[in-house]
Amino acid sequence: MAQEPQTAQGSVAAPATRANWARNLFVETPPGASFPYGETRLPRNQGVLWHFGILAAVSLSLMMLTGVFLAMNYVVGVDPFATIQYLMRDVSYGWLIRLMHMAGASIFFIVAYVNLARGIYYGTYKAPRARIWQLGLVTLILMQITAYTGYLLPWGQMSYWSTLALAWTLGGIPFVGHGVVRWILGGDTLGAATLTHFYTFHILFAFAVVGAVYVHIRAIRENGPSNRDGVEAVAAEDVLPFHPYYTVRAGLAVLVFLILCSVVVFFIPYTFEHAANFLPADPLVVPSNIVPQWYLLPFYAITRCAQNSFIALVLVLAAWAVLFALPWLDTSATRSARYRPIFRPAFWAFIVLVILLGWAGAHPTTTGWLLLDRLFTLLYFVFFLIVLPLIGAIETPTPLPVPASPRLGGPASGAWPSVTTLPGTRGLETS
Amino acid sequence: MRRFSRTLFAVLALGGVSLLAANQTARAADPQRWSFEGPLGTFDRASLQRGFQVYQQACAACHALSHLRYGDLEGIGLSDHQAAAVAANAMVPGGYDSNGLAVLRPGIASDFFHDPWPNPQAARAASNGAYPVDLALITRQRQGGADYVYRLLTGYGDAPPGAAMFNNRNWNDAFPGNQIAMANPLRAGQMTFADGTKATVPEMSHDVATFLAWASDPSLEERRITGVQVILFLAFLTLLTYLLKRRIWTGLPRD
Repeated sequence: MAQEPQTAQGSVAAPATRANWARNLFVETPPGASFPYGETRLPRNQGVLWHFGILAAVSLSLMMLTGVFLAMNYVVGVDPFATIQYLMRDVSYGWLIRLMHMAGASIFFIVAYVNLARGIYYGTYKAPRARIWQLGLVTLILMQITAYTGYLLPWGQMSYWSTLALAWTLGGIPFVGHGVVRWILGGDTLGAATLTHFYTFHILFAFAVVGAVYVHIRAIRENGPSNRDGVEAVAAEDVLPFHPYYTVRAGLAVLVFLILCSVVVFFIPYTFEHAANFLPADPLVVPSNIVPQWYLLPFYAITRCAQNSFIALVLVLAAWAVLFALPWLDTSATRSARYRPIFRPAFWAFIVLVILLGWAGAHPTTTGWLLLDRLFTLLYFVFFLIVLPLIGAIETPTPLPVPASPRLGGPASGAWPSVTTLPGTRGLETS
Repeated sequence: MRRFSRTLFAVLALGGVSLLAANQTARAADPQRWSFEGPLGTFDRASLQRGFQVYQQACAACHALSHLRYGDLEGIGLSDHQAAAVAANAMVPGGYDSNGLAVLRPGIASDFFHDPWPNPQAARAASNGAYPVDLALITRQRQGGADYVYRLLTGYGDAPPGAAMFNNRNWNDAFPGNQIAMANPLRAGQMTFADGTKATVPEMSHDVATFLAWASDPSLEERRITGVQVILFLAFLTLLTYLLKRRIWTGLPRD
């Protein structure tokens, strides 16, 4: 761990504290000695929002696990809609794995979007962590492809028509667009071939997400963990060992998260579903309003701005490009919005804007909504290309806390023992 | 503790009685009070069984209930013998005899509900061109769910003067466009319920809507009970983990 934050060796005498049996139990016998729990240090000033990484990993694990069981029972055949009903009604606990997977997709995206917004608010994408941010975006793109292909599999009305509507965005690729769409769908419209293709893509991209998440986590370990103040945790006073402090805290966060997930899965599992998707897909009946899954809505709204599918494709690629370029578009040297008085309200305005964009995208393309679509899309690009660089130039950040100061989560007064002298951390000194 | 449980029992019993009393009078009210609404609601078995009777006698001639098997009727409180008897009343395709002719046989519990139509064209031909929708998922497919089914079945009436009606269409307040191909399927007193409940139109509509809500989501009760168990388990584990977390983090100088 060459890039791990520097930790000073213990210079403060160990305070006399009573034996902490819980800490000793877990540190003396760490589960899985091959993972360097004890050596890893995390900043003390990581807030609650830093748990969303592990929550996303838990969501992904649950999606993979339930996905395996669904794949065992799903029949890629002539009546995929009936297959889902067979799962819901006849397969033992089929309803459980199916609802976990169905609601789990939305939960996974909520967690991933909070993780993304956290990165923007605290400016954790700035050097040296631009790579972490971009790998996270790659993960998100793969997640969206996985979710998009998976949504077709229940073969409901909304599955069918939103898949068709979004697929033809790719028809905007110059010269080869039509061929590409035909190749992906297995025809000009959706049919049995499309279902086989999308079933394969869904599983393939799910594993791609796992791979991307692995690389994302490796990048976090190599570039060091971020924190809410955006000040590198260089002093021994500012960090704590990953184990047992953060393992138990993350464990608590995961349990609270699982309780919230259970509320959704067991009591309000259909919250994120359209009523139309409980009708079997009918290629001859177009729903009055085609709406993709909520987590694709902001991007869907952007593609709808243009009648020309080439321009629509350019717009949505540009929307992703500005996210990838965010570490350079944000010109401020200060990372965290906590110390950026102008960026802070701008950030919240941006969040509201993205929600408005999704809201507009959920409505039919009548003149009024189309106008709003275009207005919000314009503002989206204005935020990234004009507002952000401008704020960096005119803003005066408030003073940052210095290392080892109370504002980084340390004690209000007096000496704070360094990591190596904390009770119960015997044998954790880095060599 | 004993006093507490006695009080709890009294409160629950009173609540149950008042709910029963409310059920007797609230059928015609809008919006309906459903036995299965709320996070811990369960299907009223008596209502489900009456609703099944309404489906059999008023709906099944035209509307399929696909994906459901006769054995599933144990979910509405029938015994396995009763469910098998319902199945045996239906004749289902039974393969071919030794002369190669298609034969019918009495149904068994694992058979799917009888589809009244051989194909959609036959259904349309017999129904003034309108397709009688499959009811298996109707309360999921329509905005409003069981409330919509209830409003539709009680929404028949005379067309307002001046309304231009299409041929073979009936006025219905709840149906989008107000002109529905299905004639009013319910008349007061058209069937006799074994439990003595009076077969009024609101009563039959309420019961069949309850039955169709069950048919759309037969695992609802198991889902909610499992949910309570899972959440109680997780809550206990969370409490233990919270105590462990507090124990581990104490002793650290903080604030």
